[in-house]
Amino acid sequence: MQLLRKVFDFFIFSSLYIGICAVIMVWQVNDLFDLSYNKPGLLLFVFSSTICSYNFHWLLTKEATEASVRLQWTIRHRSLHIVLIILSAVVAAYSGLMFMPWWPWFGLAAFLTFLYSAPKLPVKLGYLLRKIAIGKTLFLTFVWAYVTTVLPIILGATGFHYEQLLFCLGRFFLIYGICILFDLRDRENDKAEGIRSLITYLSEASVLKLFYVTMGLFIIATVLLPLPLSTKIVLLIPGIITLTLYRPNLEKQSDYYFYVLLDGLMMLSGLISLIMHEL
Amino acid sequence: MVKRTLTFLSLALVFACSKDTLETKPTIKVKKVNSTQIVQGSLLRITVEFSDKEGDLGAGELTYVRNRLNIRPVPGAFDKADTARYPLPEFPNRETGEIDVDIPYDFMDEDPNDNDTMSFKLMVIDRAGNKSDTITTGQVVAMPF
Repeated sequence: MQLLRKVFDFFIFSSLYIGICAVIMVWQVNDLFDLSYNKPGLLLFVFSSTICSYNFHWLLTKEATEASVRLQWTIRHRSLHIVLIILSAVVAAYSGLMFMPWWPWFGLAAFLTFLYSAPKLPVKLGYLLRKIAIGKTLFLTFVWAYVTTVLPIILGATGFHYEQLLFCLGRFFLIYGICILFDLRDRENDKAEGIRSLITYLSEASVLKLFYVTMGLFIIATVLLPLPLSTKIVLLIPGIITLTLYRPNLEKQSDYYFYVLLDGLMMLSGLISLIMHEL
Repeated sequence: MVKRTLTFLSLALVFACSKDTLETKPTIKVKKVNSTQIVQGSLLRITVEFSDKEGDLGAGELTYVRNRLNIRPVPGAFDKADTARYPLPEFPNRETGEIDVDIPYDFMDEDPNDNDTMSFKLMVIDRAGNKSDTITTGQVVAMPF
């Protein structure tokens, strides 16, 4: 049982799980829009770069006001984080080379991803970014939506039509809704550390309004998609679950709730589609 | 709050229901591109979805134009025409359908020493002379190696 727990912790806290989430989200876009390009190459790139950036991010995370299972794991496994960063960076560079003609789009993704973790860097630039960084959640949401949705559509070369735009918007709002739940957890810590985001700035009632508006926009974008009803229902499922989590989220929840359940909601509709595909 | 969100949602649904009205002018969009990295001996197939109120696109005309994206110019001797214009085959009148546009590697390949990166602009004209808007594909690459 203890071994199982260790394997599970490794799977979640080494960011393999979030890497798989990202891969399934890209797969879903490929499948929905019937895209044809070097799909294995992009899946490999997204998987490795997600693992690289998340391990980098966690390696730089050294303080937390409350003990967290994840942080304890991170502190105990610093060298593993470093090994994963190096290995995944090599794989990301190798797979990125397959897309040389599209380098500006990939460069943008890499730059934005670096900027997300940069405020944690113990150098002057990091401190500067921490002071001026507002809307870190919006920024994170944008990076996730860009890499898992916009990038595959760019590579598929079909251009952005009504359905692609709606899907991008829908995914953006779903991820933002999930991020609000993460930010609510960090609200007090962020306030104490002077991190400025919309969630620390707004009152609790306003955050609730923002959450409902965000999820409402996700539902609208999804319902308007010119796709079969069954597909839309599958797409809506994670949004409906997210909507029910606002209240439970206000109570103290474990790291598994955030890094398994909430992160998993991003890929849930893709996972259901994948399973239905294989059956 | 939930009630307000639902009202917003129902308004959006009303708009959604009134979206699909066919026009006299043909409407086209790229549905699929078979691959974005085209190697020697293969071809680029762009599947274009059309809708047209009169359905008279058969025996109309299709034009595609290469939009070269390489920063380095093509060596003079290898510079090829960028525009191709073809008559569409005759087919019974239909309001919606798909057209496969096949572009051979040889048309895409210009620079013998480098990949050729480009996008394509496409436009159709129906039998009555109504022109569609011009649509553009994303980036595709012809790879000699």
